Amino acid sequence: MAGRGSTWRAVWSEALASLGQKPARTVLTMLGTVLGVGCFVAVLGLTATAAGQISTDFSSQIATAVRVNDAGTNPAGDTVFSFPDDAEQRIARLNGVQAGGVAWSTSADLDLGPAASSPAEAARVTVTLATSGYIDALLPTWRSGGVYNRFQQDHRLPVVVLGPALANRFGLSQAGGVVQLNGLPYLVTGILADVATQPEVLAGALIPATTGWDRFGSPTVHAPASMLIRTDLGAAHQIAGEAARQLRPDAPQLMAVVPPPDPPRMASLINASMRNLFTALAGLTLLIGGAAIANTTLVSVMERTQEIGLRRALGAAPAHIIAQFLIETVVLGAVAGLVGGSLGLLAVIAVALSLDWTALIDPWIVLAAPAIGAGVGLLAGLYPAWKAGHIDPIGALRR
Amino acid sequence: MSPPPAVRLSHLGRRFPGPPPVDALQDATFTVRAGEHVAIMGPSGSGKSTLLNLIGLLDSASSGVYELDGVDVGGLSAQRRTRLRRDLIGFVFQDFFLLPARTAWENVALAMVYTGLPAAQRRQRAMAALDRVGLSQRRDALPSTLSGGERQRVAIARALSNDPRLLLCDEPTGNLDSVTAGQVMGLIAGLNRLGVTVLTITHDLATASRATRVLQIADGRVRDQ
Ligand SMILES: Nc1ncnc2c1ncn2[C@@H]1O[C@H](COP(=O)(O)OP(=O)(O)OP(=O)(O)O)[C@@H](O)[C@H]1O
Ligand SMILES: [Mg+2]
Repeated sequence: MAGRGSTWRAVWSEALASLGQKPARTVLTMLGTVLGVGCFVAVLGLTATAAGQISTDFSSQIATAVRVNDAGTNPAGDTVFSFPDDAEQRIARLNGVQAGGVAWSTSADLDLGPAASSPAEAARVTVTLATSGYIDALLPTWRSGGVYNRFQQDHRLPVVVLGPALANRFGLSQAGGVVQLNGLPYLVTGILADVATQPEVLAGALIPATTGWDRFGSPTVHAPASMLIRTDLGAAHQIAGEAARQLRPDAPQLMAVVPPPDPPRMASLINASMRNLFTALAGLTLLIGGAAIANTTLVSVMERTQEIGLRRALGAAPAHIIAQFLIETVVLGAVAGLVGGSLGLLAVIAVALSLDWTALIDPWIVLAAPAIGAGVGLLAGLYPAWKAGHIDPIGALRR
Repeated sequence: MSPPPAVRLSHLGRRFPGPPPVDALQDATFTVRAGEHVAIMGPSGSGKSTLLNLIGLLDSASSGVYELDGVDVGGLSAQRRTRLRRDLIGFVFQDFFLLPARTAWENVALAMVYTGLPAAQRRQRAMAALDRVGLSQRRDALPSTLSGGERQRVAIARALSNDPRLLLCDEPTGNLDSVTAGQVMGLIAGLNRLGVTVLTITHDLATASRATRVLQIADGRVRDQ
């Protein structure tokens, strides 16, 4: 007698033959699972791609920024300033530092002075009293001109860098003009276009710390000074560890160093909720896809009652009938998973291409797609197959 | 020593537990010897199909004893009964029961799906069986394109492709005109002459006349005459 293996192989071909007999129905039955698996792969792929994108954006801007706050106190008065006078030069000596400087802020009235056509126009603006290294560390782009130079800072000259908002407001398009701060004239050395961090400076004006110290006073506990250090990529944590001692070897505890946050942790934090939402949606679609398979298979079992009775009369055991229907739904689900996974992958690639991003997709997901589909098919097939296996052959063969 | 009778029934009964309960078969007590062709005649509702389903191991009796080839099947597991059915018994039904989407030869090959024969042999034996019923030229035809007689011949080919020892026919000519019915019964009689034990249920006298022996069933009761 021939082997059991051949019987199961024959049951397998019977299942495939049944799937092939109603191709339109087979395709329609798969649709929900195709969509579900497709959504699943697309969502995971798109969130991974977006996460990769966000973290590269962030890492080049935030992961290279080290902040040093003034932790000093002054029981005698308001003034607090623990940074050394040569803070900028000291920090620049560390390996991996691109730029760094000290700043604090105050506010002042800004206008165009008596020469202007409408002298009444004045604005209360935030003035950042910053060394040029601080502005360099912001990674600025310029609409016109640039940061004030060493000579202007050393000689405490009245020079100013304007943010684009103020430049627009006062109709200044070029560096080289003059504005008044608290009634005193300042030469505009540059107009910012953008900065990588600290976007609030775009709304105000910046003047040299030296000039500012003379005219606006020292930093206070209420508006303390802090240092911004721009490092090479990957050097931030190293520099954060060295900064305090480099600035104040005598009293490093006065320098409160804030290293940048971990970029990967940040990326996953940003994406966790979105990812959960979309994964839930994909899961819901899969559930609907599974219900569609279960429903169609149940209908098909009812339609094929006679066929099942006949197969039992020809010597099929209930297990053979159950296996045939399970194979049908598992194959259906696996093919749907394959198709859906491919469509999802295409969607991720298309979106990434259109946004000029790098498509990032876990190869595990692509491989898992047919398996997920097969799993859905298996779960969906359990009840209909069990029902088919328990159909009474004599009832099925009665006219 | 003579071989055990193919089928031996004593006081076989089948009650369908309603409500209300129906005694579809009350008492079947008869013997079919190997190689016989027995026809069972009786009015509609007399329990003919119920009897045939019991003999075909598609159903289990509520009372009495059924011996198939000397084996009391009453105590056998479902699995053993399924295997006996597959290996010993062939069915021919009034309604043919062909799968509409499968060709003639594929329908015949269906009988061997559960026997463990490799696909090539299933196909080969299906072709041979179709040849025996004179339909080799229609092997690729779908059932819908076949006449009633041709469909029943495909069904007979399906039953004989598995070399059954016992062929059970439930109104095999019920849907056929008398000429076609004669051809189909000729085929069945031919199989019987080759040694297959045949049990045919019918209420057609001409069909019954092809049998070596005719039993009458009434109100679920049938005995050897
Ligand atoms: N599953 C069942 N449940 C309840 N009653 C049934 C069942 N199957 C058959 N019967 C009843 O048992 C009796 C015998 O039925 P059976 O099908 O054996 O008759 P039959 O002789 O084959 O009739 P026919 O010539 O019309 O095919 C009938 O009264 C029928 O209604
Ligand atoms: Mg009947």
